[in-house]
Parts: sequence; structure tokens; C-alpha cells
Amino acid sequence: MAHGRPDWTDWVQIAGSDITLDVSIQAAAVTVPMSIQSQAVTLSVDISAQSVGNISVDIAAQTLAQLNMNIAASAVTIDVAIQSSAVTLNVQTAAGQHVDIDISAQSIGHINIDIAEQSVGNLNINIAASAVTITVSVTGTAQIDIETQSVGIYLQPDWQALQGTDKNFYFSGINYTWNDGGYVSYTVPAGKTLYLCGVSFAIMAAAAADYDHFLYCMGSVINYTTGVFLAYSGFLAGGQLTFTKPLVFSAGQEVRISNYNYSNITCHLTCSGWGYEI
Amino acid sequence: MEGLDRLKSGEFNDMHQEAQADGSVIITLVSRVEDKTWRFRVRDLYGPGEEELDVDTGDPNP
Repeated sequence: MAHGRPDWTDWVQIAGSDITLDVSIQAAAVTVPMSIQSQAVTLSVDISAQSVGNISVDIAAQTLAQLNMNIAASAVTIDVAIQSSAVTLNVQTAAGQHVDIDISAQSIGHINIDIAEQSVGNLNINIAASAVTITVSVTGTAQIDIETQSVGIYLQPDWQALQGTDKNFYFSGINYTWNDGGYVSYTVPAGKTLYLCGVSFAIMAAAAADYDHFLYCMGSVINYTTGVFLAYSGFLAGGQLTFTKPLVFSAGQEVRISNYNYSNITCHLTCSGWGYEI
Repeated sequence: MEGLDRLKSGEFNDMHQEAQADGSVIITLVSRVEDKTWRFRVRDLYGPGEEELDVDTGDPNP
């Protein structure tokens, strides 16, 4: 041994009615090395107290294979701050217990939840965010059983209308002769994408005497920035197109919904379009 | 320029463009979210000579 004494066993017993053992180390730098070399080691830290203010464990290491913590208390708050490129955090509770995870953050990249259990009593997920993408990947059979009095499922256009991000365009003009018409135009602002779900067109005779005249109009939707017609159709008196998938316009692109008179009398024209922008 | 700025920002729900004989367009914008209406007239919308001419904010049907 370094201190020149043979192998020894020391037994320290402190007995008393009121014992205070203060260990105070004040130094610019302190190193307390503990090297235990043995076939088997049991290092137990047993804290039995009515209350413990704080236990702070700071681990700054290049690698940490495992950190096992078993906590048996009626109420525990555990704050864990992990800054690492790769972390595996296993949480095990006794059967029938609850695990509540409250995350309050400005932004969260990913939360991956892997549940491998024979049975799960309740899985409550409350998401309060302006935009959330939920990806569910199931290998095998996915059984979704919804037992509730009412469930609201919104398609995207309905949902955007509910959120107040829907867009409606309308054009009107008067006294158009043959091969003349007008349009409503809109340029999608930066950072947004416009989804056009449908358009409608109408043509009306300008003079009352022409009410029963052959009224023919040509309606179209054009991406005026790219110059590509996305929808083009002729109508008698009017009609509408509902797209089975929305027409998409990126930021900076101008959409024009046009209607032209192809009757040989003077007519009034209208056209409209509806969709949403997010 | 409030109406034209609002059009460019896209912060509205409904837009009505009413073609005028002189080539200008009377535009009415409605924001349901803010419960506001803008009505103004523009010459050469989205063109190089774009100009907001008259402003009549608030009442689309005077």
C-alpha cells in the first residue's frame, strides 16, 4: 500500500444523541478520487429523510454507459437537462403507475415514443401548437377504436376555414363584347402557399332584351407567373369546377381566374375562386 | 396604402375585384379574423405602374 501499512480494515462508528458531521472543502480546485478495485462492489447511498431539498448530480463526461436511478417516494420532481448528440432515456415505473411528461418549449424537433407493453391503460396526448405533424408508423395491424359521443374530423379546406386562413376571390365586370373579359388576380405573399379548391364562372346579358340569348363564356385558371393554364373550360350561362386536388401556387406566383365572353352580344361577367393559404 | 399593403401581405379572407372602364380595379378586402374591411381603387395592379388611387376604408357597400 502506498501509505506503507498492510491490508487493513477500519471500522468507524459514531454514536450519540445529536451528531453533526460537517465536511467543508473550500479550494479553487478540488479532486476527490475514489478508486474501487474489487471483484464485486456495492455502493449504496441510502437517504432516509422526511424531506430532501435538492440533490444535484452533474455529470460531464465524454461517455456514460448507464445511469440507473431507482426512486421510491410518494412524490418526486425530476428535472433532467440533457445536452448530447445521442441520448437513450429509459423510464420504468411500477405496474399501474402514471408517467406524466410535461414539455413546455418554444420548439421541439422530434418526440419519438416507443411503447412496448402488454397493455396500456390510458395514453393521453394533448398537443397545443399552431402547427403539428403527426406521423404514425405501424408495422402489423393498427386497430383504432374510437368510443366517444362525438368526434370532429376536418378535411384541410374545412379546417383552414375554421382557422380563418381560407381565401375567397371574386371578380365582376360589365359590358364585355365578344372575346373580351376580365379576371381576379392575386400574388401569393412570401412564406405562403395558396391552395385553390374550386372556381365558378357566370355570364349575364347586359340588355334585358337579350335574356334568352345564347350566353357562352370561357373560364380559366392560369399561373400567370409560369404562364401555364391549370384549368380551362367553357360554360353556357355559367358553371363551376371543383378540383379533386387543390391547384397549388407557391410564394411569389400570381394566380389569375379569368372569364371571357364568347357570345355575340354584350354581357356582364363574374368569376370566383376559393381555397386556403398557409 | 393600407389596403394595397394588406393585399400584398395576404392577411385577408375575401377579395372582390371590380373592373372599371378606365382599366383600374376597385378592390374590397375582408378579414374575418380581424373583422375589418378595406376598399380602394388600384391602377395597373401587380404592374410596373401600380398605384393606389382612392381609399374608402370600411364600407364595401356605400
